[in-house]
Amino acid sequence: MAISFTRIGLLAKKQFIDNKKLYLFGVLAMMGIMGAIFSLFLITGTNLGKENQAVYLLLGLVVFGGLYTLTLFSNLENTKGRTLSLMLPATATEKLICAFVYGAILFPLAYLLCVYPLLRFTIFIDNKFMGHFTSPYVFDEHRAQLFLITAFFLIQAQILLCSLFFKHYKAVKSIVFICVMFFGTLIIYTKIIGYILPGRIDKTAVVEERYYKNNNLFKTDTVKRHLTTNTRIINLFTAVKYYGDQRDVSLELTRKQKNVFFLLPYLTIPCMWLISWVRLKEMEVN
Amino acid sequence: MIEIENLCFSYGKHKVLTNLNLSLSQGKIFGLLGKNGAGKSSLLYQICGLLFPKQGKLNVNGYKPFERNPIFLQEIYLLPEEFDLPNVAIKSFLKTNAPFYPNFSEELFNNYLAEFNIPINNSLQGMSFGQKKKVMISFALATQTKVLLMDEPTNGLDIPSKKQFRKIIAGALQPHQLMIISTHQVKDLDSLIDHILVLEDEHIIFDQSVESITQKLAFKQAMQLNEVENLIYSEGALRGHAVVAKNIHNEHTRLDMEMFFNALASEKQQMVSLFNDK
Repeated sequence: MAISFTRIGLLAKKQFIDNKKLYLFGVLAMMGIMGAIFSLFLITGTNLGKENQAVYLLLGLVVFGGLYTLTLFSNLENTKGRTLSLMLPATATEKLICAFVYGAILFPLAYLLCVYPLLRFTIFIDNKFMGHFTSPYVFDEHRAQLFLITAFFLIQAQILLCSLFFKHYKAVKSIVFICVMFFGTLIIYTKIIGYILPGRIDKTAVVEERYYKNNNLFKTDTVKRHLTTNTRIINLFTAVKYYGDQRDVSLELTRKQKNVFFLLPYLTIPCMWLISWVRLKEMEVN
Repeated sequence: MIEIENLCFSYGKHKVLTNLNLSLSQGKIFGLLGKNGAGKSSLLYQICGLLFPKQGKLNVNGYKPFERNPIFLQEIYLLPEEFDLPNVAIKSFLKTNAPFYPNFSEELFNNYLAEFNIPINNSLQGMSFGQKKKVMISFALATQTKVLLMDEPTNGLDIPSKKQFRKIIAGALQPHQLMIISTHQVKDLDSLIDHILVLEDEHIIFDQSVESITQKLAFKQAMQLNEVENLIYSEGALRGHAVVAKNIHNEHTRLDMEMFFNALASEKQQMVSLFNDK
């Protein structure tokens, strides 16, 4: 697999020059929408706390990043436009690397450069004129923020895949695809974890005590019992198992198991890029 | 330069090309003729590696096209019948696309554009399809690739532009190049091509040089059909008849592409056997 950085550079240059107007209007639209969202806080007098800042900033990244990703291979949308793009002397790998550079590196940078100053400006106004004492959001390693950032890459990989597979109504189909993937994963996880958790407790020995009629202890047995129970999933990794006699046992996955379930969706990111590459190769000779 | 052996191609169950054999050498302009849907574009797309053959061998400049080696792609250019161009200025288009082709000549590009009366400072956005096609023809020729494929290049061009096209193409070919022009508008290739390939019923049914055609066929006008010896095909014309006859007296006549193509379509067996007889 020959990769030429010169050709990647040429592809990147072509991508920028061919889409210059779209990018300019896109940046203006993005700043306008985010500015409007931030100013809503000022108008309503709601405090733009750190958590709100993080959520809106990162949600914007996910949404606008997704929309942007849809445009990365727009030149392959129809047969008319496709031929000239596919005939460019560059490999599918180089084209995908170029898309990765734009989608996963340059877009987040451009987004932060455009939207973060807007956020800081809003905070400045909030503090200066609205009487709040809000400190600006700075990225930290809080789990929720990490989750949103990784969600961006996950959603982006899914949208890129959709943009190469679907010819019409790409945005709608991509949203449906992401929903199916998300809820599908949730259902499968719930089933698997629901299966794992009760299985663990069923193997646990139950101590059974037997008594005489005068309540004196007759004997103590350790037996394995399969009790008729109800299990309620609290969240993906925790469940409560209710026994008939009002007892309940809280169950939780081990850290190792949790890590596996956490990592699995992110392992699909390289898989999706790989499938996108295969699809791109397929489009070249089909 | 292009070697094709037993090439088969189909869209699902619909066969397009069956056991096609072809050998094309450099320094010539080939006219690929055929009716609509004969498979001309499919053949061109396989030569440039945009379609994967079902069976057979295909070798272009020593490469297997479907492997899509960038070095191979640098030496082949396909001008498709229809295309979408970005909404940029011609100069920007040049800046972003020309560097992919190592032998691209900006001087040639400017000359061809001037010949087509297209100002270099124009933007592609405001251009008609015909004007865009002229830009693309100029670009294709300026790439100076070893293999240049043009799929229905005259579609969308007005009559004066078709004349300009013929003039430009006639002077553009270099000895190391091979050009295949596919069209069903055969008249557009008059006095332009060196070799004719006719695709029909999944096969190349005719593969002859223009020289060989004019040696064996005479294209004439006749007032009465009974005046013509060894008549193969005739059409009513303004003054008498336009005829295609066997050239038994070694006459030097000019190839009339349209008459030739119509003769081949209506008298296929006779025409093919005439050229197959040694």
